[in-house]
Amino acid sequence: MTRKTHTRFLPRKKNLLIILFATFALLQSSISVPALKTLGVGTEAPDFELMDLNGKKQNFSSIKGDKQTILLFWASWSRQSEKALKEMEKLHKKYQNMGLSVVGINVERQTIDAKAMADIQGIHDRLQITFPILIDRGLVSFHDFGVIAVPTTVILDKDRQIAFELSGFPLVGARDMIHFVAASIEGKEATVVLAEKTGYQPDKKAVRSWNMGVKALNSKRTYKSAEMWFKKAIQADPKFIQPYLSLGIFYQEQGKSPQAREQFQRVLQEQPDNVKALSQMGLSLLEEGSLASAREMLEKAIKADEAHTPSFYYLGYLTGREGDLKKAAELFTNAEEINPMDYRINVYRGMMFEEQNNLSEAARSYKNALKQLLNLQ
Amino acid sequence: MNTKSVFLVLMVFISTTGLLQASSATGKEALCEKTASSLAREGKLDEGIDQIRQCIEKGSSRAKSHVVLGYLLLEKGEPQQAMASFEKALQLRPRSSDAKTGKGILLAQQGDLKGAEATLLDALKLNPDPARTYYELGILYQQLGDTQQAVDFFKQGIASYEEEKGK
Repeated sequence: MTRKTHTRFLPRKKNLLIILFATFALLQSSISVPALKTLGVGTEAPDFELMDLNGKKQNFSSIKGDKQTILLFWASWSRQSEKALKEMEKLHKKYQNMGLSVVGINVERQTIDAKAMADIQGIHDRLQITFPILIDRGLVSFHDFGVIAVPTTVILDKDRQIAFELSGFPLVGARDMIHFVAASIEGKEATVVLAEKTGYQPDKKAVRSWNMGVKALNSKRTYKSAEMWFKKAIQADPKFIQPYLSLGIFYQEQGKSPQAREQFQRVLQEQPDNVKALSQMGLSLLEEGSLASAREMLEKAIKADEAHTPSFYYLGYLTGREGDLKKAAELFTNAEEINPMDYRINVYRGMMFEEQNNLSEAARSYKNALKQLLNLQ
Repeated sequence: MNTKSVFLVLMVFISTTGLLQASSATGKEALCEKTASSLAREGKLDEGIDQIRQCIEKGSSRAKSHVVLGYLLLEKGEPQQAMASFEKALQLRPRSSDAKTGKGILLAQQGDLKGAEATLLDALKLNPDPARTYYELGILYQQLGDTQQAVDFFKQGIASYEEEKGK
């Protein structure tokens, strides 16, 4: 049926050229935006085991599509989530018999009480969603995937490798995502073009080393070996961006700012609009006290991706440091609207108040951050 | 095989079986504690409490089971029963930092701020990295009006949690 529709609109040669040109221009103007804290296109996504709305446990194998699986991380409190759910329903209806599986992962909040469940069910019924909705109790998958904004879309291939990621649901990004799915499911030629668009396909050995580094970060015992793994990944494939980012953040956490900035700079040479590199570079400059340069970087980061939460709270912290507490409060609120579950919003807010010598507000912010981490109501 | 060898094999068999039985019992109790906590996280607090109580009635002698029950009762708003659970846990394991933290929370709720402070600081000595203990101490110092101390404890709690989880 889709093929027929396609054929019906097949134009004459001249029009075809115009469409090809327009498609080329569109693909040039957009890329798969980094949406996850550490994972990225080309890497293996974590598995999950979550209950659906009927109380049945589901994991990737039980729910995956023959060709692709779209995971949509959403919540009823997020304005953009509803828009994303509607688009996903359309994709589900169109491609469910052609190898695409659409799965909604609800990340409402840490603990799901009766009211939260009623909110989720309410949206599900009102939008007449027919694809499975899983509930991420305790936000386990949310943290495993390293989701930065809500909604976030992650497209996986049949081997659970990330093929596309999108944070928020911006107009251009959503359009790219739909094109990506259509091309991957329907046509081989288009997939080739989109492979260029979704980014560099890294060397497998480099990806393996990078994954080892990411895993090493999760344990106190192996934490330091992460540096070696990221360097190995860079050696195996110097064009693979993710290890530079990970190594930069690793150095940043060690307080080695010059080394960190060197890595972020390397990313920005390849991808001047890489939001993670812009944002972390901004933070590094901020920590060093170069406030004007930091602001420039962070504003650029927000322009590159308006759903990247850290850019907002780093800029909020910077703005507070400069004395504009009203504007700073707005930026922290912006961050909370995108991802209220990011405890670092409250950490940076606390730091800002502490520097202003407003200890009671600082205590309140730090307390809220720790409360979020400890999953206390 | 001589008599000595048979005796040795028999001894090894008996002790291995005993160990396996013991570890299987501990495994069951640990699973029971995990299930109770998961039920509570899913909003089924009463079911979680029933689950861990059943496990204790079946003979769980683990201090941890009583600690889990104590925290669930605390969440439910049953301070007296929660205190009894923490006390029982401390009888079984006097150096349980989690039980002491639970007791400290209850003492603070009852208005015994000095008693709570001593108990929570004691819990901190037993386990220098418990984010929850830092959290409770932060709240306590907020109540005592020492905001700087509260800020320091909340920050230490965040750092302790991040280090523990490798974030």
